[in-house]
Amino acid sequence: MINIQNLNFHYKASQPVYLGLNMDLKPGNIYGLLGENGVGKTTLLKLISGLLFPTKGNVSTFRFEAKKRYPEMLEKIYFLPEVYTLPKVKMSEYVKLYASFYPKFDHQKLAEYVDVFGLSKAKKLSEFSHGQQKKWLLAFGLATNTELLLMDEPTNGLDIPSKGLFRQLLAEAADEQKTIIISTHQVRDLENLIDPIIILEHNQVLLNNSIEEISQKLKFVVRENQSEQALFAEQAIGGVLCVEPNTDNTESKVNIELLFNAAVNNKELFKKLFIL
Amino acid sequence: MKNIFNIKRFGKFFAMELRQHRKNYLILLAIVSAIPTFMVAYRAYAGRPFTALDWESTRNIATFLIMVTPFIFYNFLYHPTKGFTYAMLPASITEKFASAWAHCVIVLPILLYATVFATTFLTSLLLGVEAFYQNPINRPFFVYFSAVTVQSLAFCGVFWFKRKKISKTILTMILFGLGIGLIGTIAVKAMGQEMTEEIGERIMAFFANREGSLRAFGRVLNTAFLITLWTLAFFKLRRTQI
Repeated sequence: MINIQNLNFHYKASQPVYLGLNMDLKPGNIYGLLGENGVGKTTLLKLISGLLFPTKGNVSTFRFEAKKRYPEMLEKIYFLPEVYTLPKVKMSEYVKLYASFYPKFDHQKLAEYVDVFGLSKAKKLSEFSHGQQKKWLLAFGLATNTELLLMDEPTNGLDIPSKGLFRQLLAEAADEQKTIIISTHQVRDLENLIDPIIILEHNQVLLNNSIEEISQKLKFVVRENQSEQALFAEQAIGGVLCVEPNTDNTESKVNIELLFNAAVNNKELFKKLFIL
Repeated sequence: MKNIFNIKRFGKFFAMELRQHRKNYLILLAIVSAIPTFMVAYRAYAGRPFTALDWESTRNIATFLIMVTPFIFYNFLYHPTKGFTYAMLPASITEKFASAWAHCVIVLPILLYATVFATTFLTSLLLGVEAFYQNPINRPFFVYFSAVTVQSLAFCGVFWFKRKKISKTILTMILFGLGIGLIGTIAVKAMGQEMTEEIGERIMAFFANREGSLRAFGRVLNTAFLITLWTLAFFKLRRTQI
């Protein structure tokens, strides 16, 4: 579905964002795209959707060269940006303007999502709060029924009940044909939802693996004291949370936040474990 | 081919933009209706006819609005959020460009000129003011072509420049004018003459009163100029990154 080959990208030639990035993303997954600020998470989403062009290499989305932004590709993509400006129109007008461009748009689903999120149909979208605007874009995005959903920090600005609703709606919407890529810092909001996980580091990928593969290679345990083999440890109530190499096939639940910290603190080891 | 241009999708995109810009359309139409109405009413009050010069003034307002339309309609192209929505809408670059072109070059000029003419004609009829329209009736294509030629600079500027579109377009126009002036001066000097005001006037008169093959050459040059600027705008849109 998405194939990235030998991708180089930079905004300034002296500061490359990607150097020789390769990636293959398949349908039926909800990818979690993690990385520190400035590593290029949003940039990657924009490259996949054709909003940015590779300096070198190729990004292919639905077998189309993404930068061509062909309509056949665009009608299969919905991109929820982190920052947005909604027009001064009511939701019915917004639907009239844009919905017809998406062949699988589901008006009934949209009405359901609007009800679930408790959005007012009488108000103009520009009069909504930031969180309400995000809910509207989520509702519209899910109703487009596109095969590829790109979401940049989708839970930012959502209240606690809405985060739960978001997880529920996304889980319902996901199917074998859809690929969902969520770029986020709020990993706790999306735990139990994202799988596989991609961790980006400057210019490269540190990890692009399923939860199952991660738990086969790493274990997440609570110990009284930090173990010597711990790749990362964090003090918590009741002990020390440790990420360790899973040499004894222990079954454990992947803690994404710990995983991320372990990855950025052990880049070479992670590359050896997961990439090479 | 269906990813390059599809008439149905183009129609849908064009209609969407018409709906999106309808407030702008209405405001522009209100301006070009109000001004002639006011002028004819004033002539009625003063007991004077609505002269060809009056007509030219009202028509020039429409011309000015046509020239700046690209800045009104498409200023958002590189906006990180508004430009984002535009770029992600499922229509091809060709369809998006054709829609912008049709709005700026065809639909709006025709609507504005028709409104100016209809308003002037109807109000003068209603208020019993004698009106003269010799100029527009004799040279409608020339008026339209001139407006669209100047507009093509704005059209290209709005697609080409990311920020400060208006000032950069004006600066480009000035530089372009200076460049043409410089070429003219060099050409005159090459012919062993000094560039004086009189020679300048003769050159202007030569181009203004051109006839026959020279006139045709002028038209070809003008058309080539327009097509070049529209082509530049199209290729810039293809390369637009948000």
